[in-house]
Amino acid sequence: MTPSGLATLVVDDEEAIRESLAAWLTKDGYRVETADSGESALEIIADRLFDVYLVDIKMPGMDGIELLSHVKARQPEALTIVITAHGSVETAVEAMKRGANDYICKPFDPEELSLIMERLAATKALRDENVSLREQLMERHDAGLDGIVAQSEAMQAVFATMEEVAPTMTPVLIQGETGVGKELVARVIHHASERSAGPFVALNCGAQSESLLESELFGHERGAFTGAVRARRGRLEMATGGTLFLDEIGDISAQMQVSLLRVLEEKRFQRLGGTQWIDTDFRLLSATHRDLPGLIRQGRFREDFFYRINVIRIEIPPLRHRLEDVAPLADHFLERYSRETGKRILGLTQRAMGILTAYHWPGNVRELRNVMERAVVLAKGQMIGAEELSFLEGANEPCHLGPMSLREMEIAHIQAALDTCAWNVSRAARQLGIDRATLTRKMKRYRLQRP
Amino acid sequence: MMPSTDPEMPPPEDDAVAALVRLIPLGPVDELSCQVVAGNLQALMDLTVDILPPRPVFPDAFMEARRQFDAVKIIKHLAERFPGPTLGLGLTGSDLGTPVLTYVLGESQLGGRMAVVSTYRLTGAGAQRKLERLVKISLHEMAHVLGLGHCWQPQCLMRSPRNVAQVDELPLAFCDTCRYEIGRRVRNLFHQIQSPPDRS
Repeated sequence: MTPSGLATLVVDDEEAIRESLAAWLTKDGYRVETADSGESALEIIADRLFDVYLVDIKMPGMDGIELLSHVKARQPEALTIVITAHGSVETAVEAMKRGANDYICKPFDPEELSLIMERLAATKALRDENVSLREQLMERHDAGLDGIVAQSEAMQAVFATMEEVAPTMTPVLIQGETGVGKELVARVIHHASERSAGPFVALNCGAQSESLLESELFGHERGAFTGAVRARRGRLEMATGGTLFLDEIGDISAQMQVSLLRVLEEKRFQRLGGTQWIDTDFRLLSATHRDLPGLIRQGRFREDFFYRINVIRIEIPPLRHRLEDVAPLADHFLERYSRETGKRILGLTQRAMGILTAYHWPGNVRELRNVMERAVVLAKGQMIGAEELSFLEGANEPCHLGPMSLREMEIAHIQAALDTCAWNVSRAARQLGIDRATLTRKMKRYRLQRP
Repeated sequence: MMPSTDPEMPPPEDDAVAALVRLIPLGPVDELSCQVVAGNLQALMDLTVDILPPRPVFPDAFMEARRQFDAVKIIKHLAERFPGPTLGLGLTGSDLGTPVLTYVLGESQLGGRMAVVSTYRLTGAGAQRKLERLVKISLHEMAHVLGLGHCWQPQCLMRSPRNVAQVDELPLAFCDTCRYEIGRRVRNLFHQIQSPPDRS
């Protein structure tokens, strides 16, 4: 068990003890700060918390027991060791009763101190793992196909493709505007795959600088660059046995594309500053909102890399092209945020729902989620009405079509329905509530032609 | 190995290359131990060594109640007695402890200048084994002085040994990363000692 840079605060009024202990812990990789009294320790933890507290019991002013009570009140999960002189073991027992994890008599046997610190590091690692597992469990709960709320035909087609590709090892490129839920789709594919027991490792390539992205992906050895004080595993390594999801893949540099292409072909790589080859075994899912073929034409994206990641392509349509998903999504988020805030909200008024379905949703499902969260927070009654959605740009207008004649309105509405259904006339007719022949006649009359 | 120089003795000639480390025997330490440690510091860490004449262990570092010398105090005294960028390694046959630890095999300033190592607890397995242990601890402490923390690679001298038995399990070699880092820091030290900052 490595200490993994556990943040440690040493509190002792004796300078020699403080300094020796801090020096010993620093060499072992702990990040150490010191305080010369209980009072100054409290001042330090008012700003920042530590993983481990080593506290001398006997100090002038606030003693270790009192400090321990303050620390535990503020940070119940804090790991604490009390330092005691030989002969005051009873006080140490008292400290243990108050929640100290262990005690040690000074001067310490070096082996004993090592064992205690290693035990604490193991406890911390176990707790972190528990938290992480709990989060994964929650994610899993959300990540089934049930986790995606959609009833539009366009999304049903997406589901069908997802179910088909999930069990295979084929790389999938998920295309869609920002906020349509590309990562959710990737998670569902992972959980429906044979690698679902393995990790799902996600990385947003657009949010990183070139050097940070390289180190995030490949990991690094200690001393590989300034600040690399210890070796670190990269996402390629973490994803072994599972799925690697690279979001915003269209944003990575040509050099990084070459490096990744090499990993995909050779199925092995080296950490930055490392000389050893590390074997990898992951499935690659990637996503982008960019037009990759367009980037290829501009010479900004490598064609060979594109074909490697684009074996299967799933396109998630923007929310404005599947407005029939707005109502079930709004209900889903309403239920979630009502539960989270403890407010009893029964639903949306018809007018409110009308506002939502007339809206353009440039930020897609993410925007709808945020709108619903805000509406729930603002809600004063049991129903969410137009008033709660007044912050939505243009919400007070009945629609976005402006002052139009009935004829113009009909043309725009038919046009929107055809766009939504990708110019599938039968589907658009169903959505408009008229038969196919009527729609064809209207299209001819208004000279509406497929773009 | 460099000819012996002492700050209390006349400075070396202008064209002499200064050693990077002073090895300072504290109390009676056999010459062979000093030479083997110096040879290994040079061979494995590129640290040139100047062996100084022995001097007594600083009496005020003695902790009467524990019948030991305080390693932290010895290091402070060494730093005061030998100023300048050159590193120092004290070697003693006396038992060492620190205010917090009941005993230490060696102690050093992380990223500082001084270290001290004791042969007191290294006995019991023959002269050869004792020398090996002394060399390993000396190199380990000097790497701390160069700023390296403990390493978690199984085959590296910078792993943290908790007792003498674990010292025996350590290889007399650094892992690639620690070796690279030692090389870099020794080069910096060399430049620092060869061209000290202008104080005018």
